[in-house]
Formats: sequence, structure tokens, C-alpha cells
Amino acid sequence: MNTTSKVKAILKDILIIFILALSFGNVYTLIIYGDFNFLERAKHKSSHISNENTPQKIKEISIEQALNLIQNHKPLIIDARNENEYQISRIENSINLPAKNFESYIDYIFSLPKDTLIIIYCEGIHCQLSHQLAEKMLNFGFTNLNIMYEGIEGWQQKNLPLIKNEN
Amino acid sequence: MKIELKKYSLEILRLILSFIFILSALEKFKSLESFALNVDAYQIFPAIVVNLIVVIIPWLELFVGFGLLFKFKLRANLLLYLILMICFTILVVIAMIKGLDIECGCFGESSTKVGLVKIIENMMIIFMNLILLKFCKITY
Repeated sequence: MNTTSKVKAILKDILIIFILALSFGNVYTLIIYGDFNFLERAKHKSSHISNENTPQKIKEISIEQALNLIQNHKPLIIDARNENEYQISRIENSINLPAKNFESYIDYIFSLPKDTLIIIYCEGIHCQLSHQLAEKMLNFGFTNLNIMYEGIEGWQQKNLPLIKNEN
Repeated sequence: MKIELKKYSLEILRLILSFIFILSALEKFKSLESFALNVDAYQIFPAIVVNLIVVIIPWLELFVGFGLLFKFKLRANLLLYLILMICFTILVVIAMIKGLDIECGCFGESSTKVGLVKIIENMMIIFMNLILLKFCKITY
């Protein structure tokens, strides 16, 4: 094999690796995040979400913090996933308000006091539905929004009770 | 004896380089959104390019890292590694020239600040890479 053929072969390999990375990256992003707007999402989050030490409108909380709120303050617990996922398993006393179907329950949202203590969850740490719903509710003036970022997966991993419908 | 020593040294270099990229990729996967903010902080790329970089780079690092680990398409992976490292180093230099006090984004949220230390680190990695490229034909 002469030098030109070797260089060609190496360049071909580099191209294949690059295409593979691009393909895997696209598929992974679409499955996990649903879109490619990483930067916009990150900026949006950092402008709305803050930690406990700063004045906040949407707060990300752990499962322990959520449990503490549930035990002491009786918050409204919202499952932001779709209805099928909610029917299969959900946290006790949670209601289902799918983030992607916001318009269908907008009247109910309007009927809630704006300072209602709310905990929103979805599937897990990579799920964006709870953030999407929280941001929509923030636009409607809600002031006490909490996202349980570990989601129902984290809840299950900690062996906390779930209402399950096997059918 | 001397050849054996040389061979083992090259093996160690290869493993070090592969682990650097695999670790770097895994750290980025922990929060791709943070990585997007890191890339954006360089103030060089438009949003669409930042998003593209976030989609490709962690996977590219992962593939190259595992390629080196399993000696798969070694020359191509080493060359790709070299190209990426040169690009990363140029970015760090540009950030320094601009006077930006930012994190490099190299290891996701565990990244260090851009600066001379980062450039020296990158140069060392590039140097290791060049050694492997020079001798990989003899060794593998």
C-alpha cells in the first residue's frame, strides 16, 4: 500500500468515526432531550431556576426535600408526564397535568391560587417535562413552583410508595 | 529489553490518552446543557454551532477514547485526537487573548479555568499523542 492510499484510508476512517459520532449524538439527543436547543434551554433554566439562597420562582428540589414538603405543607403534586405513564405508576395524591397538553386544563390552572405550593415531577433526571410545565405555570404568575428533578425514577429507586396499575 | 520498555511505555501512554477522552466524554454527558454554556462562554460560536458541538464532541471523544483503548483504527483515532486537542488548545488561547475568565468545559462541570496551566496540560497531551503517532506503526 503506497503513501497516498494509506492517507486516503486514514481519512476515510476519520470520516466514518465522525459520521458515527454525529449519528449517535443526534439519536441520543432526540431520545433523551427531544430537541437540539441545549443552549437556549440552559440559558432559560439559569434565568428562571435558582438555588435556595437566592430569591426564586422555580426551585429544583431533591426527593428528601419533596418528602419534607409533602409531610409538612401538603403541596399540590403534579405529574407532568402523559396520561398513560401516569396510569401505570404515580406518586400518591398526585394529579396528572401533562406538560404537552397544557391548553386542555388551562381553566383548572386559572382556578388555583397563585401562591399554591406546587411540586412537579416527570420521569427522571433527564426528563424536561416538569421544567416545561413549571415554566408555563410561571408565565401564569405562580410563585411557589418546585421541580422534583429526580422524578418518579428517583422516587422508585428510594423504595418510596407508588400507586401502580398493572393493566 | 530496550524494545520491551519502549513498548510498555507506549502502551501506558495509549491508556492514559484513552482514559482522558473517555472520562472527559462521560463528564460532559452528565450535563450537556452545562457543556453548552461552557462552549458559549468562549463567545466565538453562534447558538446553532454551540448546539452542534454539544451533540458531536462528547460522542467523538467517547469513540476516539474507546478506539485507543481497544486499538481499533489506531492511526485514525490518534489523528482525530490530535486534531481535537489542537482545536481545544486554540480555543483556550483565544479565550486568554480575549481576557475571558471562564471554565474550559473540558470535563463538563468538573472543568478548570482557561489559562496557562490548561495550555501546558493540552501541550503535554498533544506531545504524548505525537509520540504515539510516530511509533504506532512500529508497535502495532
